[in-house]
Amino acid sequence: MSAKASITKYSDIVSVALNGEEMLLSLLYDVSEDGTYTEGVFAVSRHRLCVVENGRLVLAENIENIEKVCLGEYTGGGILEAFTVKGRKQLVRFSMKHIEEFTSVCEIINDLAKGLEPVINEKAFAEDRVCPKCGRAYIKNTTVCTHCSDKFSVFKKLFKIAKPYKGLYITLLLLFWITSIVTVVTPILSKHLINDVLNIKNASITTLLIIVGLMLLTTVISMVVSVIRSIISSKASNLLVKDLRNHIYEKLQKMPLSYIEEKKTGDLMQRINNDTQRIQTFIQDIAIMAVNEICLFIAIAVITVYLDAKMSLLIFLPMPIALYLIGKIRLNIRSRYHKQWRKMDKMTNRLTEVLNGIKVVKVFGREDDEINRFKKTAGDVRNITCANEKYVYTIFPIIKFIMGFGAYLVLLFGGNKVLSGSMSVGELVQFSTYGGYLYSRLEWFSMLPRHFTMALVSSQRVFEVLEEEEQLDGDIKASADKAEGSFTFDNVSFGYKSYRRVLKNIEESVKKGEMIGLVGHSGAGKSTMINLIMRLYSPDRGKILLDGSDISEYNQQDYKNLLGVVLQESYLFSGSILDNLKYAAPKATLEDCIIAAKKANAHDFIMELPDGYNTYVGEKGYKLSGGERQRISIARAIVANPKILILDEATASVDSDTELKIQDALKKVTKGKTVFAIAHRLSTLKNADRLFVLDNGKIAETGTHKELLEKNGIYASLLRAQQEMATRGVTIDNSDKIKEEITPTQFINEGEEFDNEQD
Amino acid sequence: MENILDFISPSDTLFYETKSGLLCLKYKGEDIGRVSVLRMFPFMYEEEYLCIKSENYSREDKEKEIGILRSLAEIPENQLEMVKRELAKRYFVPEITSVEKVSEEFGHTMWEVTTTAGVREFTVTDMSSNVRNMGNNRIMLIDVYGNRYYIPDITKVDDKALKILEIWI
Repeated sequence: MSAKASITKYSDIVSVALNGEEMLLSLLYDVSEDGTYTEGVFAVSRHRLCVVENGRLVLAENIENIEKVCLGEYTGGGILEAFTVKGRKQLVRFSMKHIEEFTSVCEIINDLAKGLEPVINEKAFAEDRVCPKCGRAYIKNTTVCTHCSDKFSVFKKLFKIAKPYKGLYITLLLLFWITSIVTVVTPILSKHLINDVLNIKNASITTLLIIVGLMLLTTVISMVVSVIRSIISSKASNLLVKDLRNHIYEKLQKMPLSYIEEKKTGDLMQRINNDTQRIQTFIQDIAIMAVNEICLFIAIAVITVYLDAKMSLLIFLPMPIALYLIGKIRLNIRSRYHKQWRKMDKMTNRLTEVLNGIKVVKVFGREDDEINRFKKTAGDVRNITCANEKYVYTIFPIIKFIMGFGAYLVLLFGGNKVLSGSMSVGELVQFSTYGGYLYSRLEWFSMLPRHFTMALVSSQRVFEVLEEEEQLDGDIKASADKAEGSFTFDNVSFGYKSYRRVLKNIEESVKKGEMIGLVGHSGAGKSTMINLIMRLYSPDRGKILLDGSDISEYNQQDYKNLLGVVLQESYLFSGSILDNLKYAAPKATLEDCIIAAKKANAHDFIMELPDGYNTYVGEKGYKLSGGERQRISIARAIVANPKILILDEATASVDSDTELKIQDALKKVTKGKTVFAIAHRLSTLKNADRLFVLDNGKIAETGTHKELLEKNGIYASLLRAQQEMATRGVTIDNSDKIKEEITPTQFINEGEEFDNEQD
Repeated sequence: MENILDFISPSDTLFYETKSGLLCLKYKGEDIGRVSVLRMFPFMYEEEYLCIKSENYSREDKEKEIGILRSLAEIPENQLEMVKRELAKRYFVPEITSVEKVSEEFGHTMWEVTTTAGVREFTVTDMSSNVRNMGNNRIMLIDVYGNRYYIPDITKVDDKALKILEIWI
């Protein structure tokens, strides 16, 4: 039963419990207080809330009695608790299935308790996470119901994509028909060869020549056709796969970051590479051939019936048994190989892991353990592979035997007929050739469902990406041309998982040209705030306004062009320094690039490289130091002269000397721009106009460095803690680098000092 | 190694419940209020190595660890039940007692099971990461929403389920 129907069922009780008030929201929950599954309704009106379980009112409460509610996220579920005038109490318990909805409920009740107008985010309560037909859960982040999805619709979509190459596919089909005719004709020629030439004394040599000539001709035709067919089918399927890959890649680029981060990189790569490959194999080797083979199978079956109805029964009767056995064996083989593949996977994974972490293995002296562990995994792989091969080598001859069995029956009865004179030798040969053909196809047919499923799953996975909702521009109401760079955070809340808020009710405004330093413990929400400003994620509640307009009302591309971003990990793509500089602004001139590099203090070191701005960097290119990479990424950020600059730990992984250079560069480039900077060193942020001190997802303090120190709050205590740690760092670690680098007031963010030591 | 762990002495603890069944603690005479009890090794010990934290929501600051309770067996009978109830709330991992129906499609498995918490239908996707081997033939299934289901002995589940699961463990 759908959630709506269940809720309607109890609407009478709910309505009474809410004192007849209009219901603001109602939703199902699934765990009773004693920890068993149940069906209950949780409903809220403006002044009341109630819980109805199995048709019985369990709890009703006036919201004015509630100070606040909070949601406890536990293993396998959660509990909504209320702080009431009479103390704390549990309102409702639910499994993870409902936790997102209850997160929103929690916020709504808190709004109501504070007397505010509640913000009801319809999306959180949408029923689109279960299939409306069967009520089963959709696959996460999709609207694919594994139970109800129309299997053929997937192939229909595939055909749609193949449409431009219709001509090629029709040609292929025709070519297959030529091969089929040859297949049917060859046994007829054999019959004539035996009956009209070999079996007759003094047969004419001309007949022999004609028949052998025709046989040769059919072979040549079939050879030529097969060559042409292969060329065309490879062309057709490659074109299709190219299209599919392009579609997916294009789609991925347009997808919100949250989608890509949620999927594993490996999974997405798999979809672009392997799944499309599998679709290609299916179309190239299976699909067209299947159409043809099925037709041919029927045609030959009809011919055998026409030739000798009784004897054809001998061919057909054992067929279902053979098909059943083959299918059963195949299933078994598949599950065995699946297991083998998993074991191999385990071995490869461990191998990659250990080789990547070989330093750790050696440092802790665990080589012997690793050797033993590997021996065991390799042994497991050996055992399962041996067992599987033994099975396959035993079972395949049996399959062959089953296949050939019909042919023995035909020979037995057919031979008898030849002996009694009611059938010629040639006819018997022709008949048994057809019979052999039918049986040999059986094995191929028995594999069809598997190929079919594999292609279906792959197609489904590919289309799942293709049909995913893109991050679309909303109504574009604001123009980025006139943007100046003032920001307002209007009650912004956000969580990567909506039930775990990272930012809570952020209310703040930033003037144009102001430099804001974001400060706080790690995990306080600094990077998240920046992610929201960069529009990598959208707030769950509230708005971020740029010059008075919601940032989502700007055209995506135009908005991004306003931003210059320097990230902590200064990722450079393979290519020249120039390519990397121009990545953010393809239209930048060479002069622009040099100016940017100069401002970023990168020009000097670039000119020391033998290839200057054409120096190849990236994975296999010139090894730049952390500081050099960072300065290039600063230059990249400013090539397009952005209005807003975002610096996420821009000086995190460099030594103090380099930091000075970067500091100097940043001072030059931040002038006149609105800047949001996260940095864990005070020196970076002392120029900031204001500091936002984030604590547990909220802005706890704002002000200049001096003001905050005077306030003696979180910021001051953070600072003290870091001074202590910095001093400790000097005494513990005597390396020159550390001594030089750490001066007592340098750190701002507690616990992040280790980042430095790694580089 | 210097022992810096705060093990809670049972003689210092007095667990009590509020009227609506929330677990609270008086520790060394101080009323801590609402506490949470966390398993430190949930896959190994259910009633040993329990971390006790004060959970004061009203102050919005981070949870404070009171200490570690070495074993539930150490605390008096009347308090034992309360802590067990709290654990059952915090770790809602129903045990699958029988598999009524299981099917596999598109690499997703659909389950209809009877658990210690009642009858339930759920779907598991991405089997390689959502079928967890806890050792000693114990398996944890995690469904699309993140709910967990515990199978205490994989060798005792029915054949069809075993066939599906054994590939992933």
